[in-house]
Amino acid sequence: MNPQMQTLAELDRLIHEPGRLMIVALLYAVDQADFLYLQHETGINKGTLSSHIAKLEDAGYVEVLKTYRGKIPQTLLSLTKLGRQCFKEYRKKLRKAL
Amino acid sequence: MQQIQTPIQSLLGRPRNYNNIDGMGEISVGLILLGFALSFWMQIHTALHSLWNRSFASILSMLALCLALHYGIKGFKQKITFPRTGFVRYRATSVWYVLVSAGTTAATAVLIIRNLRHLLDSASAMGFLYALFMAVCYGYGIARAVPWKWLVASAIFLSGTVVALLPSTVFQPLFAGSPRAHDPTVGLLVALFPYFLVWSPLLLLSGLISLALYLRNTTAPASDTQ
Repeated sequence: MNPQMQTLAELDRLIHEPGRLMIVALLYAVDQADFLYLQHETGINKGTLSSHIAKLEDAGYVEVLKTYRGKIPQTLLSLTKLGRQCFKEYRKKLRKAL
Repeated sequence: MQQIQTPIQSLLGRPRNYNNIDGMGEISVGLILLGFALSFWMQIHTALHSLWNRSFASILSMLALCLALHYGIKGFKQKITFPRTGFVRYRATSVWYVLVSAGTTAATAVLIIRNLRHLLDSASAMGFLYALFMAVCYGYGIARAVPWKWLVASAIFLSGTVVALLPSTVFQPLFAGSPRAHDPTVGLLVALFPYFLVWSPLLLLSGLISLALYLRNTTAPASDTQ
């Protein structure tokens, strides 16, 4: 197989999906952000965003912390060490492939 | 490659731009410049042995202003911005990164000034360079994210250039009657004063427009969505 095609095939599919790519890229640039911020920045609806976050959490890429801001529930999200590493790797492979 | 990498780059830069989504970044810089201008004004227009001419007084007043802005903006973000468009905690910048960046910037500035000294002999040339520097910093830091802010960047550059080109006699009435108007130790303050006086209202106005647009276009969602 063409080495470029092989690199493309090796891309992390969990991150490569556009919605999750947006979430991971936004979280990569910060220490922590809440659900509302991701919803505002990505424009993804609540249900789809929750589903993407659940997939990233299951893979160990994102850490989810349920807390309260005053009396209002707040969901805080941050990228784990593994998540950071995988995103870095994903960008490196993407650069190589294209 | 550009087609995919550019949106990723843009996403990586969005949290940084979010810091000024409510105009608070510009308002705070505008208030700091205004604070500097007022502090200079007090130093120049008060007696030589007054409290304002003690170095600790100006340092303390600026420190108080910075603390008030820090906690004021923090309170505003917690009460208004985070409930409307979400909370972000930025990654801590390492001390080494800050030191290396500051050192590199200072070294570059020294190199430029040393090499272009023959061109920078006049206050006008220095003022022009200062206006260009401010406009570039503003453009890079703020206007890249909000296209209409390029007008503000242009206004910063043009107003700075006008101040630089005007003869110094135009600003002399501002310091008329001052006991320190001809004191060489406050020469830099006298030279910077008009720039701060022109740029602070520009930044405050731009920040207030952003704040008004932000408040008009956003509302806090129902509590269960956060």
